[in-house]
Amino acid sequence: MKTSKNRKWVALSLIVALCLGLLSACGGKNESGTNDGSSSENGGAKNDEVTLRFMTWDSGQTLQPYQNAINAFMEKNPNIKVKVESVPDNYDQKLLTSLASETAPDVFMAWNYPLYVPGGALEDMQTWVDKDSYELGKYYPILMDYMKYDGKLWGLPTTYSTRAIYYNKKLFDEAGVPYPKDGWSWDEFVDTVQKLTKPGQYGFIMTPDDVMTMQPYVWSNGGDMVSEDGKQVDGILNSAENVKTFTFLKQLYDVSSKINSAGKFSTNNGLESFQTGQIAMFDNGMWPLGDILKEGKLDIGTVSHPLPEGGSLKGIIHTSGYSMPKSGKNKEAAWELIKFMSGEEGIKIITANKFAFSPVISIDKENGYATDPYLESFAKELEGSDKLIASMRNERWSEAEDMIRAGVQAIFYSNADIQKTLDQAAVQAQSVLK
Amino acid sequence: MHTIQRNKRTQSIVFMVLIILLAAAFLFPIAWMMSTAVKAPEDIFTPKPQLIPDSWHFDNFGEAWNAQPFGRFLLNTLIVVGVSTPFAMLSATMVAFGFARINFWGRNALFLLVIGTMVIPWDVTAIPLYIEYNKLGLINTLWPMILPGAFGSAFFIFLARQFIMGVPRDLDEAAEIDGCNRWRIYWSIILPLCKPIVVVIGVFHFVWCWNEFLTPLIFINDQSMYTLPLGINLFKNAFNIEYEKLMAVSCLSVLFPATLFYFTQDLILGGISLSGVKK
Amino acid sequence: MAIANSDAAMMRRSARRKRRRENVAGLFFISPWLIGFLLLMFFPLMFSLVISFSEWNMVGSPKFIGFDNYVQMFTGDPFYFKSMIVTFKYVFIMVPLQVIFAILIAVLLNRATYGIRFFRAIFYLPSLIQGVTLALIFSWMLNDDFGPVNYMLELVGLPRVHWLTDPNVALYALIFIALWGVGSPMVLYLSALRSVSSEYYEAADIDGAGPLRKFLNITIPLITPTILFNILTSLISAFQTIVLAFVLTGGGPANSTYFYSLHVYRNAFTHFKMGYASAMAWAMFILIVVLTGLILKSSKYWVHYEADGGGR
Repeated sequence: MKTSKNRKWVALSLIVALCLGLLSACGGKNESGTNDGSSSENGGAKNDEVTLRFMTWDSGQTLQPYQNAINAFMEKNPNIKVKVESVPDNYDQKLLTSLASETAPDVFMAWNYPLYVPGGALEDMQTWVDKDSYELGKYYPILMDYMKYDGKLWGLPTTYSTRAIYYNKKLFDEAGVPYPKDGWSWDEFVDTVQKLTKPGQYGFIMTPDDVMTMQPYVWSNGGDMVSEDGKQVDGILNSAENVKTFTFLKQLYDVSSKINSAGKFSTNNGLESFQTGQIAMFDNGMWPLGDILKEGKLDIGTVSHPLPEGGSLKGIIHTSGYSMPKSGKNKEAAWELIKFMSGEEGIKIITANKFAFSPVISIDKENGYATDPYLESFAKELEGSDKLIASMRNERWSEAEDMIRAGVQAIFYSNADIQKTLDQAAVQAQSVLK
Repeated sequence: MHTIQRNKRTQSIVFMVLIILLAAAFLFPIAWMMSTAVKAPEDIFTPKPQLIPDSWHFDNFGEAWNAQPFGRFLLNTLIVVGVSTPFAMLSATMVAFGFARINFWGRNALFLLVIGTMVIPWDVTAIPLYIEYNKLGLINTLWPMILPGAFGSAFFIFLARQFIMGVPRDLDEAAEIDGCNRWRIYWSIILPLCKPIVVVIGVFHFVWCWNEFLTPLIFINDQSMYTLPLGINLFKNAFNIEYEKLMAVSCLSVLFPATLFYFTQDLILGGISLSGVKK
Repeated sequence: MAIANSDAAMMRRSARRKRRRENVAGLFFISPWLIGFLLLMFFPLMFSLVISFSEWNMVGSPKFIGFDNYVQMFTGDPFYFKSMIVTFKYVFIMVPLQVIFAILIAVLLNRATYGIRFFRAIFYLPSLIQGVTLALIFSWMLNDDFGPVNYMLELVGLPRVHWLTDPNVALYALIFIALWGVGSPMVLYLSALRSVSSEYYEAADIDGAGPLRKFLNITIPLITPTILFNILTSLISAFQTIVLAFVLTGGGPANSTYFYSLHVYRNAFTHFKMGYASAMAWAMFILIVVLTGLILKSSKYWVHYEADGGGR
């Protein structure tokens, strides 16, 4: 008797829960996706005003160039309004959440296509390109490879940057060391770092955590981390070339600063130390250049990555694309925005003031980047670049990279045997990619 | 007798010195935040760290505040905190009273469930929660920030339960004999006694709600609905951080909870003595 | 016989009625939480539980794979136990330290003669700053090259410490930093200390008890409800700690601060393996609930609620 009463409570609460579950399941099947106020069902219709949501990880100063281009776009297309949503932190979390519930922004920036593509949430950009016979030949071919995965096109490029090495001229002068020149060797590099390291000052920053930016060294020595098709690690990661490369990187680590100033901003690792003159050289993209020059405290130069004997320069590229979700409601308008932003008009506005490099070759030429004393080395890095970063070749690469990172850490921190450690990491990484 | 007094005095001096040293350590990060807030951008990173800046730039505050619509963000934050805090105070004590005083079926299991809800990391529930809020039409509104706290958060329920467990039972027993029903006992006997803990809940909830970052980050798209922490975060991007501005607005943002705490601390700690209640 | 029988039946019925009244009243009082739970938590929790048995990259549709995720944790993930050990180390050093430190400051403040309102506010102040901003400040303070802390060490002739970049130090640096968040428990202890009746101390004075004995025999027992609360809540939040590691170390160096929660986050939003992340979260859920249950069970033996006459 008593238990049956108790059961009633359980039953009742279960029923309530079920009803709620059902309610939320059936609630709005036909209204998934957001209609931002004024936008009509088929947002492409010419006369209706459309509001587009545009999501980016840029904010504040770095958003401004994009905002300028967006403003120009809105002026040109008075019937399309663009709302910028700037998400500098937890970008993937936010994007995934909105994609999972089919409320993603109409246009968003993305770079890790291999991860987003398998679910089928992204719009195939090729159909739009074909429909408009949009000219893709104006872009650097290597950049277009970064926009593809699984043989399809998922975005149009935003901007790009290669990486080069910044050096602080004052610290070189003080130590009586000549400035580095493009085409310098690995040995010269280690030697220079050593000469510039003294109490309170380091020649360079090297951490084992940023495996991604080790790729230019690996490539220029004729090695790679994974096969072209992204399937084979074993035998490639642990090649003789790579053992040599990691021997060099370990040497470099031993004479470098170990700072890892903020885990999250690892692509920008050491900027503050460089700006305070405690680091003589550091490896970065062209993004902080404007800030460093603006503050005018530092006399700097840039140089391309050093090369191994007989090696050739193969730069690494950071880039991203504008994409749209398959579930988007205003694809026509979104395509217009993407075309504008990635095309000549938009990119010209965005790359003004040396904000970033232009993926459109003619604009890069027009901006004169290849002859700019600070940007020349970055341009050289692009010339030889013919490889996709490993994460663009396999959707499970981030996991494999965790295994490799652990191996590199063992080599750097605890002097583990390089060949053995790479062998082991290769087997582990291979098991992830299977 | 004299030695006892002298002992007491040296004791209190030792205590004061300890407090001051510890306080200095606790104040240092805040002092650093404030000093960064008034520095010129080029003075922020120097080889020799400087707590006292060479030149003071108080216009950083205005500049930072106007860099984004912070007035709007502040208003949103105030709405969230203002609406949810009273409900949080009421619901937490009410639920706690149920758990502490009423011996209903399944009480212990349910209480473990209450605590259990604190345990599941938000990372794995964010997506279904988003789907649910989306179906309810609450995405891009302030509700996702208001509702969870208003229904009673596990932390405060637990806190209030611990407190109510400490209130002598003879009080409610006497009231029950007088014919008071449970609501009356809760409302006119327990709740007044709970005043310090209710204020604690109010202050803590205010502070956490004020600084909540992930909830608005995921559920708000439109910049006009942003709260202060999201606004502050806009000074950060992948390539650099505008430290002086970020710190300046952080300073201004801290002012509100700090003022609240400063003026309510007597309610929590000073004025009310429970010794009158206890036998 | 019959009369006695009906008496017993009546008594049973009235007891039943009383029970029912209790159930209704209980349900009424916990209804705010219950409604909130059913409305806002039940679906997400069940959803993530179901997902934990599937493979899901969040953008496609989930694929049911049974217990594979759970098996994977224990057999195929080299970082699982590593992150577990890091987390346990953090929890079991941080929680006791925090409890002791919070009581210590509360006791000191309770004895303070001057400026008590001011000092209270100072100790609570770091808890008022948004987590990310505070972590940013600390990452700066502890920076190897230009951080004020190392600078001060150098001024007094001590060697620089690689706070966040030495694998043997970083975890302890994070624990140390976490102590700055001691403000909230401190406020609770202060409140608890205030409500300890002075009669107890006066009685102890007459017995000639020293300050230490008074502290151990009177103060501590009387604040055990707060201690229980503090231990449980900081245990739970320590198991989930993520912001500090996220901003300060990113899990490094050499994964020495790679917390379980960081592994969950990484699997979810870097590897896009929400199924596996959910399974990890639920494994942790079971662990913490068991731990919490044990502590709650043990509380019978060491927590004194004054209402039960424990304080006398």
